Amino acid sequence: MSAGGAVMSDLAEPFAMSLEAVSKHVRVLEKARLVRRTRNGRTHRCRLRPEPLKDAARVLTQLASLWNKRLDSLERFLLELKGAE
Amino acid sequence: MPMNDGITVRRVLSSPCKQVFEAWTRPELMARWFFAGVGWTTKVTADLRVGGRYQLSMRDASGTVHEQFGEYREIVPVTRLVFTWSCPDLGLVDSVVTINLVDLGARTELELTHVLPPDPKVRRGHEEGWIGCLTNLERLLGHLGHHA
Repeated sequence: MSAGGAVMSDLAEPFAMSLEAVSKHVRVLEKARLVRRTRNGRTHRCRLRPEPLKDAARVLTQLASLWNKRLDSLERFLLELKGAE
Repeated sequence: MPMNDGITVRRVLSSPCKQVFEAWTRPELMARWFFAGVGWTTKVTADLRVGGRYQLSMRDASGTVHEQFGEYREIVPVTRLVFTWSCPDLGLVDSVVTINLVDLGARTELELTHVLPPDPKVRRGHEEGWIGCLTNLERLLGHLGHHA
């Protein structure tokens, strides 16, 4: 799916679901911009868009860095309190 | 520790549990450390009860204000605190932060877990709802991998 794109019927094949049901799921992914769908006559082809996934990873990396900085700051503050005691 | 939908950060602090808990919950103490950089100042309001709200307005060295706010979900003095965390800067709405404190006598082990919401409430720019689909997508790709 990530390389050349997948045809809808191939996507549906491994699932115990109808083509319509799978199509519905793909629509959700499409709406979320994780998947791009192109139509060629009756053939629908899906391609994975990696950008939002990278965004998710980036947000998590940012969060980890943010909390580490805050905890550094908390640590300094607690030491300051100790010094003042 | 990386997870699919969140992060965990651990730290051993050389202060007792009660003091660490107070640093996380008393607005006048929070204001003294709850920022991410040098030259920042923070204004804090906090209504410490389940369902109560808090707001942190952090002003960075250049004068830009970064807002962060949410609601308390769980308060267990002096060991556990769960609150929602919304941050327009990062495009996060109602993510959940859990703080667990382990009493080590004079020291405290702090474990912070920050989890992004499983439902499509996280927004980044106009790409609404992408994160909620990650689990589904992973499952889908896993299946496809087996059949490739």
